[in-house]
Amino acid sequence: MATLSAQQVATSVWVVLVVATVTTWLLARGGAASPLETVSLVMVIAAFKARLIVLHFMGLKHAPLPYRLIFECWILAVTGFTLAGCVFGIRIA
Amino acid sequence: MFGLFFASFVVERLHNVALFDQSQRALSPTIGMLNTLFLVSGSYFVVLAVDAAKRAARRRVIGCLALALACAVAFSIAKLFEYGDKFRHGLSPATNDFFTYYFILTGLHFLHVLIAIIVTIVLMRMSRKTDFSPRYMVILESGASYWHMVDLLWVVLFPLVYLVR
Repeated sequence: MATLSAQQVATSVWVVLVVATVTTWLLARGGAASPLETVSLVMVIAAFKARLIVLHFMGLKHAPLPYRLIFECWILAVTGFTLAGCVFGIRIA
Repeated sequence: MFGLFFASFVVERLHNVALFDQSQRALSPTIGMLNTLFLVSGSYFVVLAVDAAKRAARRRVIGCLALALACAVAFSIAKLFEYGDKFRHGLSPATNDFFTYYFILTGLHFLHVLIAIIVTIVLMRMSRKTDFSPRYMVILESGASYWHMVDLLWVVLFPLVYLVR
């Protein structure tokens, strides 16, 4: 399999980020899904986008594991805590 | 630091879910989405600039940095328009807890975008006469990392403040 150049990887990641951003926006304004489904999808997509930026734009994909873990854990903690808070908020609303 | 601010927002929201959800309706997800596109695109152009610098392609480095700068300026214009619109409608940090968080979180992030603009201008000036030395590459890659960090924060901040309810 041919190896992609750094530029091709960056362009692919950018396209995915743009599509994910527009998808998030459509999801949030669409109202087709329940609040629980919407918030879950929105935060999962946010975590996915954040990982793409960290691994491919910041170049941590091939960084030593401790450096990568710092960012991976930050993304997991922030998006996971937000999702948990929103799910709890939906239940008490 | 931003992680703690985000967590604080989530906890404060739980104290008054109805107020936060109602206040959030005054925000424009469309402007937030456009601003996300500006920042991810800016980050992308910075990646291309670093890649071009590795090949000592000076004109391409400067061109890509100029595009990243344009993205940051577009973000800033949209953000100022957004703030102006809020103040015109009588919404300020003193309105309620949601808007206090909205202005602090987005304001702090905006401050980082303004710093990114200065960093990009400095990098463009350096790139005009660099010999692509290891020192220049370290400075360029440090500036690029800062750019991606600003992008990363917005990617989380946007859904948190503008979308989830």
